[in-house]
Amino acid sequence: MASLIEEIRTLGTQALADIRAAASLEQIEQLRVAVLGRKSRLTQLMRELAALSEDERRKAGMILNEVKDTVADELKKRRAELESAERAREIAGQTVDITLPGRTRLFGRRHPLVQVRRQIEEIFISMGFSIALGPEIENDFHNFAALNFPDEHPARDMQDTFYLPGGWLLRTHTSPVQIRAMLATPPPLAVIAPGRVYRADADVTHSPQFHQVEGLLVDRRVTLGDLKGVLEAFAHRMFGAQYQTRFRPSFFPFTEPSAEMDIGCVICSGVGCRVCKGTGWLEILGAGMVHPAVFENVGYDSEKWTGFAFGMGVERIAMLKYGINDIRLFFENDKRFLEQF
Amino acid sequence: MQFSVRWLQRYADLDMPVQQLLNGLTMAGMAVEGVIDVGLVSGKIVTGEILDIQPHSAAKKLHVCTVRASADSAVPPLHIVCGAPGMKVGDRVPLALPGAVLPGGRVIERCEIRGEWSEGMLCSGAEVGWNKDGSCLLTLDAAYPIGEGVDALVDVGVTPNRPDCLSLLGIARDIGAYFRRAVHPPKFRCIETMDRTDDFAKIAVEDKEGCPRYTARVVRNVRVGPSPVWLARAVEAAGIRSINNIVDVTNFVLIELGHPLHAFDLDKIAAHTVIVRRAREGEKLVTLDGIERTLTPEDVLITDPTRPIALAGIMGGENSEISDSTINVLLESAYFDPVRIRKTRRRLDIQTDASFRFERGTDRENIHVALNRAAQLVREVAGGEITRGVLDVVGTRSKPQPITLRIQRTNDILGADLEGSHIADILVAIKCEITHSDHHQLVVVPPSHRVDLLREIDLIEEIGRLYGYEKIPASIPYLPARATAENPLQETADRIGEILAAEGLSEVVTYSFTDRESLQRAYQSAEDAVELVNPLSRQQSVLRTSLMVSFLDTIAYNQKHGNADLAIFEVAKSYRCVGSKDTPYQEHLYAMAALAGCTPAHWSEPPRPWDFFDIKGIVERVLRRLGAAPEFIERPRRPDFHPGRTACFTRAQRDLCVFGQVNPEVTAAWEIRGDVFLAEFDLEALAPYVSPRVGFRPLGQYPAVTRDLALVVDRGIPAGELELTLRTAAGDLLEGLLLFDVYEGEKIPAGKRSLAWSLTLRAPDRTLTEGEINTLIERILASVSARHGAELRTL
Repeated sequence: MASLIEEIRTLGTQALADIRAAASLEQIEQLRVAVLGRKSRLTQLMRELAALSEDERRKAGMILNEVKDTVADELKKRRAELESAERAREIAGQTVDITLPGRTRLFGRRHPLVQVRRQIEEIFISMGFSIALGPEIENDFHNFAALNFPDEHPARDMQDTFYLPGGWLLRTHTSPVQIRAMLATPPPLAVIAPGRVYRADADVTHSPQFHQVEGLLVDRRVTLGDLKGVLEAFAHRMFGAQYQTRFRPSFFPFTEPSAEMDIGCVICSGVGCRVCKGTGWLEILGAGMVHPAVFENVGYDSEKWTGFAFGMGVERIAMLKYGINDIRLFFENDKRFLEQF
Repeated sequence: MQFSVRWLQRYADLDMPVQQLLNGLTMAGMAVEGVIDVGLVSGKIVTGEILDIQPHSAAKKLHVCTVRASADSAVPPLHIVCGAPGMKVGDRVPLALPGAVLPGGRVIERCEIRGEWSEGMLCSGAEVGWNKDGSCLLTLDAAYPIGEGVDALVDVGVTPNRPDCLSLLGIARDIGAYFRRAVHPPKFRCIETMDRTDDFAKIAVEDKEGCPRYTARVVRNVRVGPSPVWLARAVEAAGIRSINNIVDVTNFVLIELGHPLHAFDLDKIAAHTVIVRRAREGEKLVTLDGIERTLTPEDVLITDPTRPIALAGIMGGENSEISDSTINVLLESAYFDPVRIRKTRRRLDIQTDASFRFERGTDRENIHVALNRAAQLVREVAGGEITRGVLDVVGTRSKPQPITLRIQRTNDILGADLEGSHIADILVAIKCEITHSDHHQLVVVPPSHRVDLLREIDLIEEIGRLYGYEKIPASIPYLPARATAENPLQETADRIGEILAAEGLSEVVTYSFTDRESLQRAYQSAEDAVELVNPLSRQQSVLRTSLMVSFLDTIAYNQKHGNADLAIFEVAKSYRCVGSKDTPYQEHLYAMAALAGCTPAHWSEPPRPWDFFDIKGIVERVLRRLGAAPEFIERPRRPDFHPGRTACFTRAQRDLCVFGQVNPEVTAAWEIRGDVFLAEFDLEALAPYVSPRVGFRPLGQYPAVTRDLALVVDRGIPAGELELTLRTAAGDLLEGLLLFDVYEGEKIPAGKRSLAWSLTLRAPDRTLTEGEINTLIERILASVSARHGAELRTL
């Protein structure tokens, strides 16, 4: 009996030593089988306990179980240690070159003209204007006659027109949308008309196709001062409040008085450069008070209602905003260009 | 309109600094568009007088000149090395001092030229930008003071409503009013002989509508020759080439007074009789530029009893031109109808200084002044005698009409608070006559040169312009609040743009133009393409009937520039003739997306070419996010697409989106390498189905079960049909269905393929039991077996 207990304890002591010495998870597994497995000496001794007396069996059994539990605990502990060490080795081998490029995914961008157009729209929408749209193929009435461009008047030369068979034309500005809006809606009215327009003209700053945003406000007692206030607010939001604005007299058949608005040159900050031709000013839009003849043409009472209209080229604004020097870049759609915005 | 500042200063007291004058021009409405500074602004190019010319010791072709460059004779003259031929002692010429920048950008410095120091450079007309002549020095007349900046040639934009500003006097009048300075019209006397003009020439006007007034004078025994220096410089300063003394005089008067004139060789006019009439259909005239013009009765024609001699108001004829042998001159000053002149010059596609002014409207009261001025100048520069009397045929007279101007209305429009007296002052400054005034209104008669002042608003503009826009206080109006009507098409366009950008595609903006050949090569309809009457080029001669051609252009352009991989989209219109009388043309809004080349390259995995399922994935996600579910997928009959790799989502028999591979025949025609995948969204078909919001479904609270089924079917059975059967059989419990594998090969019988689906099942109100699930799976298998002969694949 004593020798049995002695053997159990010796086995236990030996097993614990072996477990502590184990250097791998495989060894641990081998030890588990060897020490606690069905064919192990301890399991064999457990069976041999049956031959002992009741009292001895209980005592020896207690010791045996205690040794088994201790060994099992030690196995678990050592296994955890080895697993942790293994993970540490794995982690140590998992170092990546953090300077390698990240995985790419396509990154889509809106076209710069669309970005600028939407920015212009948002500024005027926030002031209370709503968007009006119209066709690109127009007739003479909407594009010219109703806008007080008399037939055979030199003012028509201000806009080189593309004509279509049957007396139709490609709109030269989005002003026909103003006419359509006024014909469809009684005053008051506050709309902007963004869209594609066409003029038979092509060079570094002129494209046969370009985009405009025009605006129209009709209400009682709208003044030239209101026009100045709204457009100054627009210019400051579009380019920044640091740029001055000025209004110069100009001529458009459908507005009178007419004006052009300049802002302090965004390239040279007003000092004078090639872009502003040394003047320190850049023209950004044309505007004016709606000509009474236009109101008469759409059946508005020009004594009761006054209004202002303005129009700007989206390309021009975008060229100034981004410092683009050739209008054709917008329509070439070179990937290297598109990816810059 | 280009003019010389020094010349302008002769007609008004404009002695302010040049910069202030230029700024004033812009702020008065004549935007300064360019300045050729011949020293007046910079002070670095001055008028110098050549005092002495000595040969250069080391160079045969060079001279060393002593040049006086200061009004103060005590200031020592400068030594200038110069190689120009023909210069003389006493000549006044432009002298560019060290630091001067010539119009071409050349900077002048003090320098040594072969052993002699030069303290500047004497300049030719071409070097300072005065004219095109680089062969000799630019000589100046005595009106250019020694030692002062020479001049500045200013180009201003004159708007079409202001023909009165197309002359030195006109600009002086307007800018004089702006600065409230005195204006001085030229003073001259026309000295006549005792011979009566009508003994030498006769005029008759048959076309009184085209020519309401025609006047003429005769100057006899002139000597045609080069112009004197002052005259040549004066016309050149306005950008006109100096021709001879007679022609230069007519051009000078055009520049000075704004009225176009014409000079005829009187002896080339048959019977010395001028007849103004409509041209006959098909009548021909060779104009001064040597081109034979074919005329129509629309044209106003100057003739003699035998033949046409000038195209009225536009250009003279070669047959009556002033030449070196001309002795007697007939000067014409007339008023021609603006619309008639414009129609003719547009039809013949010629624009001259004369037609430019006549079509905008000339001052009827200026006709005699201009004629007399020209006669007097001809006599002055070419000798000769002015015969007594003006030949004058007056058809219709027209006087400026009085306009009533309300003071309150003026302030209401401008947003200003001007007194009646202030308004009257401004109108008087622009030479209006005020025939009545009270507390409420003024009655105003505009001067005859202001052909643009016809109604009250025209005067209000003048008040604003000369009061100064900058003095009008800016205000913010209350905008009329009004709910905007929704525009589903615009909404759809905006949203699809955002979704496609989020899909990783970059937006392009392409031309609406193309040509018929491109449409045909892309198998697009070309017969109903909208044709431009006046295209800029053949490549831009019609409007596109499909965005596809623009996309092929864009892809080909990018490939040529080294950008092989593209993922792009555009939201834009295409155009068609539809033949209806009221609306012969139709515009249609599309969104187009295209993939060309390969997926993005990365070191971790090789790029692969885009394929059908890339574009299909984009289309599916776009439609899902728009909330516009398609009903069917079909194979469309589209010759522009690959027959086997193209599909179309439809709803209510309309194509929502056609997508797939562009027909390789088409890409080959554009010399595009590799396949192009394209999706064409018909926004007008889509818009009605786009839902503003995607609905919310409660999240299931009970666990989901996943079952995988690999179904073996005949190869020809479309996956979509199998999917439909699976969904129908699975019913409401089916939460998700994913096709995760498609297999054809040795492990299954030939002619078959295996489609492996993962089904996610969930009940909203209970945990599904094993038995329930098994029953459902049995039912599904029975259904796919019955409909498609599908068998469960056994591994």
